[in-house]
Amino acid sequence: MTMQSKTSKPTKKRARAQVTATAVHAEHKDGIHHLVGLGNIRVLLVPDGDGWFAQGLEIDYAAQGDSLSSAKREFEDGLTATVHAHLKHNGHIQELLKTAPNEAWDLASDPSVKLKRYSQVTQHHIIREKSNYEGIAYLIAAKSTEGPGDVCQ
Amino acid sequence: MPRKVPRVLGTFASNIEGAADRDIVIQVLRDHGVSVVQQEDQAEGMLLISKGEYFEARRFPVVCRKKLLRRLERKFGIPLSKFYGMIH
Repeated sequence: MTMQSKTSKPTKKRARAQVTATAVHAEHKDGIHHLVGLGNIRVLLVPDGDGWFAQGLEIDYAAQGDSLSSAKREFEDGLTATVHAHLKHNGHIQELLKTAPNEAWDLASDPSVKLKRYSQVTQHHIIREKSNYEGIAYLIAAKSTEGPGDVCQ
Repeated sequence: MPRKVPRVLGTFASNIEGAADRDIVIQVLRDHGVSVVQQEDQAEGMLLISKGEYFEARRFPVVCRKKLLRRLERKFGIPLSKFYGMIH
């Protein structure tokens, strides 16, 4: 009975560990309007010379800044623009959902390292690039003419 | 009269902390087949960097430090030394 009550009451540590990174992409049926949500992405903030370097863990994106706030802003702006580029070229963000290299994860396990959780929801208006030849309708003839001269006669 | 530092040594001295100028970084990327262009529909300075199937967007700082250069090395397969090898 005592054990049951212990297991049913989650501790603070356990509740914190349950926070997971999420990525959501919703596309309107018109194919133009997209909504992308990235939630609880962990970003590693590492001193880098006179400035800071922000490296995403669940998403392998990174940015450099002269200050902590500048590194965060560059990370946010750059990631938003990268999401936009993925939507424009691929129509989805699956290629973006790749984790950071091992060296970043090793660094993140150090308790002295600064880790921030980051979430964003962005709206994108995408007109996808189409090939110049998409408007051509090809017609297949049942038989060919005898020669080029036949057409003129 | 101060002794003039040879140009080659001056280049090494500026890269002692592993930093490289933005213009050099962009030039090295282009020399290695990476496309670096202004991204459409985005603020001025937001560049789209792409090679093959991989692409990402970023603003390049005036001075790119080693961690950023290491990332470019990893993503686009350009040896780190190439970013320091260009002498004006």
